[in-house]
Amino acid sequence: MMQYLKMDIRRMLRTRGLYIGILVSLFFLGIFSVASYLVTGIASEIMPAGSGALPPTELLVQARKMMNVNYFLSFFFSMPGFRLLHMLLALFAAGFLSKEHQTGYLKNMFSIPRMREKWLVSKMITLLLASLLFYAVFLLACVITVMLFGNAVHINWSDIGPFLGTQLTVDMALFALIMLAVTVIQSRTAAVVSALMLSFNMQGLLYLLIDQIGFLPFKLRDYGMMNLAAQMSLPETLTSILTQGDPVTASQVLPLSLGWFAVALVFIWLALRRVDYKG
Amino acid sequence: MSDLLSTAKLSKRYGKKFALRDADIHIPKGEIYGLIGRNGAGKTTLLKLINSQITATSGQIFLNGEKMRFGVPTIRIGALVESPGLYPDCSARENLIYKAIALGRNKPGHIDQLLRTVELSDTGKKKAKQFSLGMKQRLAIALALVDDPELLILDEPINGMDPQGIKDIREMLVKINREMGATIVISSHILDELAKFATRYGIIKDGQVLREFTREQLEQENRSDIRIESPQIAQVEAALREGMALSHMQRQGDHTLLVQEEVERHEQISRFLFDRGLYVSQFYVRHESLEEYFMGLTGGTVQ
Ligand SMILES: Nc1ncnc2c1ncn2[C@@H]1O[C@H](COP(=O)(O)OP(=O)(O)O)[C@@H](O)[C@H]1O
Ligand SMILES: [Mg+2]
Repeated sequence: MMQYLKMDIRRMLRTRGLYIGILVSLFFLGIFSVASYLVTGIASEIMPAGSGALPPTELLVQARKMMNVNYFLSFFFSMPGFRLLHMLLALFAAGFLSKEHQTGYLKNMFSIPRMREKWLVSKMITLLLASLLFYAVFLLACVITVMLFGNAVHINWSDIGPFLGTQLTVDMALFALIMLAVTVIQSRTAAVVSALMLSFNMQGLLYLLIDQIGFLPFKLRDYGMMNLAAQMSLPETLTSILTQGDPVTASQVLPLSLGWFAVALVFIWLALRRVDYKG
Repeated sequence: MSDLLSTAKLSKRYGKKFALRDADIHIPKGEIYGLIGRNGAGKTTLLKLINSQITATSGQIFLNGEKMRFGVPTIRIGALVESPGLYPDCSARENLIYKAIALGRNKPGHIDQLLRTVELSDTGKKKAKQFSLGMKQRLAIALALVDDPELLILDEPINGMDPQGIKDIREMLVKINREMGATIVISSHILDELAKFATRYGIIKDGQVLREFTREQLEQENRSDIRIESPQIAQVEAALREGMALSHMQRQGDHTLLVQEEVERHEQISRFLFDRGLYVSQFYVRHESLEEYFMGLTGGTVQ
């Protein structure tokens, strides 16, 4: 198992998609921070109520002081309709998970005893490590951005710990669902399409439709993982201002993300033993 | 149960159609086993089953007499089934390293040795996608050799290759068989090529294994006729007819006679003609080619 994992980690570190993903996230972080620095509209959104009387320039100066790590993290993880980091990670995972099927390299591996189980476990651990790397780089970039704003960096782990931890479980659930698609359909297209659909929350539309028909005693969209994950908020952020009602907490999202993760794993496990390799 | 690999009533069904039906094959250790059959006969299906790439509809696979469970092999197997599966953007060495790491066999000496075996040592940083078909094929064979397999499975490894490439692979396989002690199963429909080095054969048609035989059996069974050339061919024929009671004979041209029975008594026949004082310029036993033998069994060509 450790040997298989070593192979996957080497593969992961040599996958261009990982670095492209990180660069794209940094690129948008750059754009967003410049916009936050210059655009008054954003400033008026994040300033506490009652400060509207300030002249626009003063408003901007005050607003810049409020921009901290939370502000950037929350924007990129959880602005509703804008889940850049989940999408980049899902796309990387799609490429990574389907690479062996796409090239046919996988066929060299079937003679390794218990290869299917090793494939499943090792790929999941590797993706977890890749996500951690991705998160760490992004967090570091947020810290640097805050310093460039001239603000004192304050990281409140009791806020961002549960926040990032939960988002990580959401990513793991996405990975497992993409892996399920790869296991059953065995193509890169299936992997990429499922990654895009899930990370853009297309399933949200389906939930909306079911809610409209209204034969369920509750609103399905209130239990959509991506939906809720995007409504988790950190203090002093756009999301915390834009979302109405009670903020979504980790305890609401975790059962969903862990549930989806477990369900996907069970189906992958069942499929691995039955599905013929198509290559 | 002294076979390294055997199968019992192994079947694979796709929808209503059996790609393989009740296949029983037996491969003793150390052999080079040629799997012969037309396109669509079920060769690839059989090899994929042995390599755990697909699951059987029914039947069993035995490795060293032990039943394989859940597709987990209990011997070291290496396989190249259908086209090579390579990382196109990686060098030959890098391609080998990934599998070697997964098997805990990533020693530089080992990888060098593999590259030498398949004659790819000098490809350096060249990417696999820039390789010729023969080079890709050889790299895929090296991948199958990473774990020093006890059983090497090769599905049409010489398909589409030029004669020199085919010869290289044949020599390489004989070496792998002798020096590394690997038992080899190789499928092909280029029978003349298989006949040059296989020690055992299995014929497969419409998903069923028709017959298994050894090289010796093939040589004994497929003597087809005795070819006699003589300027006195009419006298030769008459003498054999009355003196040896032979009747299945066929004249070819003015000087040639084919004797199509009692082929195993060829020495007696030769002596008989000599004793009669008949002049014979040529006398030899013709062997059917593997191809002709195959046609006789299956009633059609392999192509
Ligand atoms: N995945 C599949 N789905 C449906 N039919 C298949 C599949 N694979 C093989 N077959 C059928 O099974 C038969 C045997 O195929 P195969 O084992 O590839 O033959 P060979 O390798 O001897 O040419 C063929 O008729 C083929 O069409
Ligand atoms: Mg085939």
